Amino acid sequence: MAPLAGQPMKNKLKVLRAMNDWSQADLAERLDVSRQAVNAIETGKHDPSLPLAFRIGRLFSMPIEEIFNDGVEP
Amino acid sequence: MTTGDDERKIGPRPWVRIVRFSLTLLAIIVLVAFATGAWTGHFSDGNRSWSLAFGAMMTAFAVAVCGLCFAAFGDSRALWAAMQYLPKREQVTVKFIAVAILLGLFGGLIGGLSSASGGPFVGESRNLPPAFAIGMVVLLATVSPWLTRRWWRAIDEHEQAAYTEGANIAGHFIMFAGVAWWVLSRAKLAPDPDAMALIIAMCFVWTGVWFYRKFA
Repeated sequence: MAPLAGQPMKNKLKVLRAMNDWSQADLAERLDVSRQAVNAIETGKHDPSLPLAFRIGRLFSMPIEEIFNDGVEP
Repeated sequence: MTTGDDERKIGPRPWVRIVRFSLTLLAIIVLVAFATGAWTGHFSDGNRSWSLAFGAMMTAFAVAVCGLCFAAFGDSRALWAAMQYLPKREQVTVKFIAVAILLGLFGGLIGGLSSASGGPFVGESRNLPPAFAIGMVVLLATVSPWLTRRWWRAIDEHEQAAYTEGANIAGHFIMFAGVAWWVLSRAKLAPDPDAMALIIAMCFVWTGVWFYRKFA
């Protein structure tokens, strides 16, 4: 079933960050965004743009779809 | 993985927490400073009951708030030094917030000094000198867009989204509130719409949404 419009994207950012023992500020520095942006993405309040999603994927050496999940089964 | 080098580069976390907290305080200060500038300019008009003295008092209040916030941290120099440990994007935010505070205080000062009820910037006619008015308009037309553009290019996409949402909600608010006020005034149920009051209200809504989306 398709997710409702406007439903926040789920993601594993917090888990990946914890696995690397990074604070939100550490991750923000590496992604060149503010700590508030990292927090908003982790809590689903902000969906990152494609360029930022690609930067996140590259940082964790993972494809975007393994980090972000829109709730739709393939 | 985080290395020792990374820790040294990013800095001790207590400092980061202090600076984060101070960012929130600074956000509140910006609201106060902006309100002081706008309200002083608006209500210092002789047709309203806000005097030059009250405008100056409000400006002094904003300065006192800034001072108290810095004093609350004991050592503002250490706070300033801790800035380097913030993510670069947050350093940009702090710098532009500082600019906004200064502009807000400048606006409050100018508003107080150009009060229609008296002040060094107004003449016998109680009007602003044309040269002064033109100078202010030139500043607004040149420096403001330049600063805004620089700020817009410096912030990240999250803050851009917060600011844009604030603009969206403030635009709708002012459209509905303005029309409602006009309709009420046509029925003599309210005074004539006041453009500056509407602009101030719009800025409050805009800034409130923007900061809520960014920091909450």
